[in-house]
Amino acid sequence: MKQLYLSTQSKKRQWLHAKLSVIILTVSLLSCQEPMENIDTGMLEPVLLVEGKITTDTTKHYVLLSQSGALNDTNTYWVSDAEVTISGNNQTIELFEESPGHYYTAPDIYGVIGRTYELTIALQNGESYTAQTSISNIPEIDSVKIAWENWSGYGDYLHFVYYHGWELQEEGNAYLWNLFLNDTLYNDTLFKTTFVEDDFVNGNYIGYGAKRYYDSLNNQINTQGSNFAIYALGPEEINSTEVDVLVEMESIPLAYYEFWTSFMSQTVWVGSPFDPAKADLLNNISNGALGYFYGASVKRYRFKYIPPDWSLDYRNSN
Amino acid sequence: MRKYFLLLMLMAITTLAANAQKKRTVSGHVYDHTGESLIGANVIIKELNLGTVTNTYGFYSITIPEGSYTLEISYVGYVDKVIALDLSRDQKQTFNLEEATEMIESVTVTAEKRDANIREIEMSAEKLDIKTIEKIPTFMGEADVIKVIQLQPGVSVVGEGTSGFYVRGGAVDQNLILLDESTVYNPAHFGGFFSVFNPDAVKSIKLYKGGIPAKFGGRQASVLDVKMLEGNSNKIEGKGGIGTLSSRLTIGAPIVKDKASFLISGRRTYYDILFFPFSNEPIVRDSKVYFWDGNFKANYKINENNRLFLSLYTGEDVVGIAEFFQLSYGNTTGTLRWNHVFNDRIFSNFMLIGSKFDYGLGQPAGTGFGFEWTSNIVDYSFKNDYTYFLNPNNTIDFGFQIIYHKLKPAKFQPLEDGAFEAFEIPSEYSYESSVYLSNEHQVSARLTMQYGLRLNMFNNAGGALNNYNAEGEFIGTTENKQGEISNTFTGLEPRLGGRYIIDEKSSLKASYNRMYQYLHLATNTQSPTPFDVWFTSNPNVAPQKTDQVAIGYFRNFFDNQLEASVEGYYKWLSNAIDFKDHAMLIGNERLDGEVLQGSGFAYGLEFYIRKKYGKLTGWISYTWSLTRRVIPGINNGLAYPTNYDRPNDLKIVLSYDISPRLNLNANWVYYTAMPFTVPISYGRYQNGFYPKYSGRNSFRYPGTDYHRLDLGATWNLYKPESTQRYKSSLTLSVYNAYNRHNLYSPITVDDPLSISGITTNKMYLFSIVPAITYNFKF
Repeated sequence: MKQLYLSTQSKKRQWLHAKLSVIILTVSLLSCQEPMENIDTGMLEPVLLVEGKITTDTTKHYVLLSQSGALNDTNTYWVSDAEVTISGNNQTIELFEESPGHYYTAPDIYGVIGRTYELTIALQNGESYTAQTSISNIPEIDSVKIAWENWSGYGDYLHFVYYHGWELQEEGNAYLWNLFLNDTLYNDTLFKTTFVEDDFVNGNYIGYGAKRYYDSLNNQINTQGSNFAIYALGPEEINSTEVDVLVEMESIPLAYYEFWTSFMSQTVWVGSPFDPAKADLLNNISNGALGYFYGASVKRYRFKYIPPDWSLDYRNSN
Repeated sequence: MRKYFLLLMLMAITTLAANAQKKRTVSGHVYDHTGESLIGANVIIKELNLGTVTNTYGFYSITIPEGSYTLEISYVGYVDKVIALDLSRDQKQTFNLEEATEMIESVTVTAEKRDANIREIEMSAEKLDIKTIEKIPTFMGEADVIKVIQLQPGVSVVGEGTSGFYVRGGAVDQNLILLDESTVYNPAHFGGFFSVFNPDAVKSIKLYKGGIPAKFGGRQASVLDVKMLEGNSNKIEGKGGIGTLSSRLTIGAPIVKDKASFLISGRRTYYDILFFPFSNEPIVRDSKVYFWDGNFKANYKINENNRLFLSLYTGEDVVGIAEFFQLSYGNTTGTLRWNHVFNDRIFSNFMLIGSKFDYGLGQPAGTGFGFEWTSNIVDYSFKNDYTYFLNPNNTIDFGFQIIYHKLKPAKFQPLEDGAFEAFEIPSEYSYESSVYLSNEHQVSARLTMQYGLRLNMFNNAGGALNNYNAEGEFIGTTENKQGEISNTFTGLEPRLGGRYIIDEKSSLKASYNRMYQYLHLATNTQSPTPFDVWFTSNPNVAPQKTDQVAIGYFRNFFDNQLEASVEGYYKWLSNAIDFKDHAMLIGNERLDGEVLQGSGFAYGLEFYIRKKYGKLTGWISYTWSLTRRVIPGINNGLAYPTNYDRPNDLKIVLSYDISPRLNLNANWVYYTAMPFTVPISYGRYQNGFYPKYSGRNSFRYPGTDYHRLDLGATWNLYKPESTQRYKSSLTLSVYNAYNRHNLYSPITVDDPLSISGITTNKMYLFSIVPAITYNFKF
């Protein structure tokens, strides 16, 4: 239910998926599952998988190279000895393999907003791959607050992480948020991460509570903000009386948002005949490889959250 | 185009030349004892060994040389009527047939009327009456028209419990579903578990899979023609049932005896009323999930030559999850029809038709995200059909239809101030017009031909047109005023059919038809959902086209006790539609930019044996088929099977009257496993698995062939000789009797026990589903 609620808080595609998921939910109530007797398709084709990004942070940027394997194979097949470079902003940066399949830039590298970057990979076997991305503009974060709220009207409480800030005037922006609780990444896999696009909210103020906002000439430009929870945490997910919260916002290319929706609709929002036809994810690596290389501008907001006492009681009583 | 018309003219002239003798016409209607018109009743002139059948409105007309004849009227399940006919002038003869009881039936049934499947020119058509449907095991106690259609040869299904059906390789939107001539855009309740047709209000069902007559058009694969009952014009009559899922009541009664009657029918499910209030979950107590529908029909016989009918249907599905989410969708249809007999030989029909499908979903204001999302499709149509009974050898059908389509794909309205903005996809308007002419021509005692033409015109008449450059990139929108014709498609559809009687027991039939389709359903899910929107052809989306040839051998055995047939078909699809991978089809203002078009083909062989009469009835059908699409941009442009491609398809339907009071019935179905696009390897991305998929629909999980046995029993709670008015029965049904867990959908899930942490599960819907229904009539 939590996943559903979060989705309704975000964008068109997401909440439409969520609405469909009500039907899926109905179907799920009727349906049962059991392990498939035989899932070996006999069609295994190992392919290269790329995971990489370049951000506006001055840091070591990484590119990970591995090969896909069979469903029941736990091994990660790191791909070594590749030549990996990122070029853009009139420079070509070479990446060095620090451990098998893990390639890093030098620590003084940063990406620039508005620039395009190209990743090139040359493998030992002679195959080569490329990917292009760019770094988008990012708005300021006004604030982030957490509120312990009854979301259902039936005594179902969650810690809602509310975002406040103006959305950029230009269309076609997309964002994701990383949430660190006491320096531990909460959204540690792709499907736990909140992504949004600006389709329904372009240029508006996103905020919690009714407020009036005025432009520099004192004209009222938006009567009210809308609640926008980037995360909703269950009582069991906040364990201490004071939490150090770091919210890291990434402004990402719309194409990366679309990659995420294709990933979600193929792997998470599934389980009924109302699923869209399966197809390889919308990624940006050439030559049939899997994965994504994306650029992001980054803003951070850090604060302390002191959960109400009774939220901890609530957790304990459950 | 000209050459087809010349051919038609030539055939008509030949017919007229052979027609110089002094002729007289006998015409009229055939009704049953309650005043319902009988469709397809046999009207035979004994001496000439010549006959016809009544049309959809119970009308017949035969023109023969002057003389004295014996006229015999017969209809399965009714007592024959035989009269002496002195045909020295044109005559009107109207008949009311009495329903045969079991005993009388065995005496009066004659051989001629049982060999209709051999003699009729029609092929690739399935006719079902409500009595057949009632003798098939139900799902949750609901007798269902579409579930029975799915048991016919050449009709396949996807998943389980859906109302979608796929005819000879055609997609779900390629079926023209008509309820008293009005298009039903979404025949599903509960997302597909039930259909919108309340069986108590249905008179007849006919599915055309091939050899589709020229009077039908607009969809490529099939026509499902459902007729509603007219209502008893002699006395008040009722029928109903109380079931596990729903209750229903139908009442038919005269308004003016023998002149005017009506029928009103309603049903509603009540699971939410009966069970939700007692749930432990407060959210369930505040929720509702139900559907209802209502049918109304009235008819007025002004005189023998003029009759008026009004048919209305409306229904709705409602889902409300407490205060968070509201969803409703439903169809409304209406037909006003005037049957007019111009003279003994010309029968006509004037119709005003309306149809609407809409859905709305939303969340109330005050919930932080109050909104309303609405979408609908509305049709207004005028249709005029004529039948000209030229002579016993030629029956000419002609007519025209104009449909005005109004499509509103999506409107989003926030209900509270906030960051979310209103959003609307502009409505689209279009006209779909057609004229047709066809002749059923008995060339010789053995050979009958049917040939015809249908000419379509489709106009985009207002709305926003998206423009794309050669690379398919969006470059802007052109706004056209409502009513302003900006684009026109025309299409000519030849229809051909022939029947050759080899001997009394067997015949050979063949047909060819071409069908254009201008309205398409935007769906890229395994099964259609209530949220799918219809969209029209426009300069970016070419009309779809299907050509089909079919050939069949029909043979009856044991004095027509067993009907058997083998039919083969081949279909070519042009401009077949599919969608780009990951296309978002709902709320997409550039839907036509997601469309990919290509070709397709389908072929198959259908074997069918049916026993219609006696204590044991039923059928066995086996279909072997193949369905492929070839669409650039999908599956690297290589041919791929559709998800309803089921190469082997076997259906056995049996019903046995153990005694006049007890009927037992069963059906067993088997289909080849559904094909899926499956992950063939996994990579790791951000601590999650990242699938690499196989080619489109290239894998069928071993051991997932679909098979299922359903059982049913009906116990009449009255003695067969009873004359009491109120009669009731109990129907028991068991769906999926041997508890087969048929694959509904494969689902990849986290599995801490597996070494990789993920596994693929089989999702299945139903174990054994028993149900009981109490039915009554008076």
